[in-house]
Amino acid sequence: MGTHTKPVFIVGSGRSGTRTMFRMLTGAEGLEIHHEYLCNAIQRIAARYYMGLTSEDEAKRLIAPLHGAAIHYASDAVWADSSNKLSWLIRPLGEMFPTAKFLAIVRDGRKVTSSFYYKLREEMYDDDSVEILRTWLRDQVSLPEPPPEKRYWWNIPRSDQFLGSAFPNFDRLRRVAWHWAENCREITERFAELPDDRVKLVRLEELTRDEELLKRTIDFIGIDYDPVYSDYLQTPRNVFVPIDFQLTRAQEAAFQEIAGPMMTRMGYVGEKAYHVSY
Amino acid sequence: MSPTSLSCDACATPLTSAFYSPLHSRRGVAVFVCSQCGLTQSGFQPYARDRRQTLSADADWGNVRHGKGLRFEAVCGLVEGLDLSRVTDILDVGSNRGDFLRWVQQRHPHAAIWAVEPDERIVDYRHSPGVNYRKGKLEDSDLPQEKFGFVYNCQTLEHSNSAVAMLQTIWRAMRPGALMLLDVPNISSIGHSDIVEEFFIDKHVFHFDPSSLRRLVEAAGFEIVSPRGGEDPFNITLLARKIEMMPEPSGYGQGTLPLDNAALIRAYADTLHRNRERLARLVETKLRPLAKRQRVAYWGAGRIFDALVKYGGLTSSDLHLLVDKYLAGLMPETHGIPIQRPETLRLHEPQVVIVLARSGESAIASRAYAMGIRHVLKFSELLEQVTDIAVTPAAIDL
Repeated sequence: MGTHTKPVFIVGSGRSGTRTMFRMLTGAEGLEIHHEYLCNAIQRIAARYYMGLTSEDEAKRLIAPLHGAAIHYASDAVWADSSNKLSWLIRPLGEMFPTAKFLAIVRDGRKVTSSFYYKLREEMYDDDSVEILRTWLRDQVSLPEPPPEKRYWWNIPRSDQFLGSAFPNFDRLRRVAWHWAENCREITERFAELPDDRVKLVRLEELTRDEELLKRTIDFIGIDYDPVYSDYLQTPRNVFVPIDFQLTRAQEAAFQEIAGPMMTRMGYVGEKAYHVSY
Repeated sequence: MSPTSLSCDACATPLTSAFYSPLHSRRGVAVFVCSQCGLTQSGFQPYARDRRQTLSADADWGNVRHGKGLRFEAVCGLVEGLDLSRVTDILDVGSNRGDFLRWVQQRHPHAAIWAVEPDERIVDYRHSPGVNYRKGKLEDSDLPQEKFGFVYNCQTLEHSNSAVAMLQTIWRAMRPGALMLLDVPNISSIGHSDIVEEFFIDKHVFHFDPSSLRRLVEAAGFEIVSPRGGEDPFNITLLARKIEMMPEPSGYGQGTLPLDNAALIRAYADTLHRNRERLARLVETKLRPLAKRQRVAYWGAGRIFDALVKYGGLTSSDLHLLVDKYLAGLMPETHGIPIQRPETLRLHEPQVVIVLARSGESAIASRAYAMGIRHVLKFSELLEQVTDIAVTPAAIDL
């Protein structure tokens, strides 16, 4: 690791503002920031680690020539990567990089779920890719491991993990809802293991409205605040398709069944899903 | 045929009161449900037949003659699974543009094909080797008795003046034990919440549900060998075998079918009306703003597109490109918008493709992804966004 370079890992569920943070901060003085750095490699490591196929030591060994090397050769004061994949690797990353900070961006699970569901149909938990991974998990001897391509490596829980027994019967919407809830659980539990000054969790909705919170967040990352950041967040960014998709009644019911308790835990209790103006 | 003197084709019960009259019918269509057996059929005012091509979402849709090609792709797998190697004579009922016929010619060149089709304009196979083309409707054709070892009857029975008579004619022309593949639209599909196209079009006399079709086929002297269902809610496909003796027509018990079909049609009329009103909101709040931000292509130039234009107010400035695999080449344009081949997506590189289709919706979406389109939206899901969302517009803009 570069002597003075401090790593910052910006984590979240995806479709929650991690890429927005990257776009907003890229080029900032003293910061080298990436979005989903070496994603194909990291996502596979993260999924294998979550699913118990890769030990913590092995995960660290695999991350070392990737993020480890990048941070080692970095010249800026802060080296950051915003990536939902890193959410599953907080524990090994925290141990590998003792000065690293973790910023979690959490967004209303209904908006995350509808965004993934409608706008990334072929890339996230599509039926075919899930079946391929599931089949391989059952027979790792005679079948080749799925390639390190994004669509294959979305976590499938073991039966002893959150809703692991029910997961095989989930449709795609339920899988996406599960991802959000489980991602939030992983982040909050891993954050609880780290010192307070190394972790910060903010809700995207508050970050866009509360400039003071934004200032504190930028300060946490370790760079200077610029008022343009607040302006930047007033417009939706990283918009794949500028249509505001809402969950249907049936989808909302399915979502709440899986992610309702986590919604409460993340402070979204009683709030209506909001509309996004593009 | 006049609605005032109509009787049920299956059980001859007089059909006295119409349940439904679709918009923009050129034939004054009135839809009846038989109070005894539940068969749904249309009655018509006298009309002058025309072959004007329209892609209308209303009852006047017709004469494009591409539906059978679409359906052949869907049922082809079922036909491929049959052993036709020893079949010497095949009957193609309503041979249309010859999709099935050409397939048979390639795979079973030994077989003679009788092709019955009234619309000569689309027949380019009349002189093909092994093809015996008969111009006209099947009911008017002079078919030999007990000749055919296989009958392909796809999306035709619903057009007949008498479904019973057509099935009986086919039965007589089939060899004992021969198979018929029968495929018709499924009236049950009108129960879908996202329907915007008129189901009861001028071209269709009969509107089968799985129960009434099965009864009709069995009463005509067939046993159902392989009913198919579930995978395509929009059509009923079955394989029927001619059994030795043609039984006396009977067995049209009342059951709940008459009431079920009547309720289905009433609910459909209400849903269709409401959905068409919602199309304007869909265009205004979703599709038009989208087109202002991104290059949007529509895949599907048929009836849903017509509904979006006619009832939703979609205009040529709301889209970048309109493509359709089947209609491109058959129709140069619709509403002044050129219909292009899907392959042209490569040239125009739209950021979003909106799929306007029914049973082919997922297949088209997959095809669009395969062509490198990253963002593909389905009409059914878009309509849900103005009909069935869990919340009303609220609070926070992000």
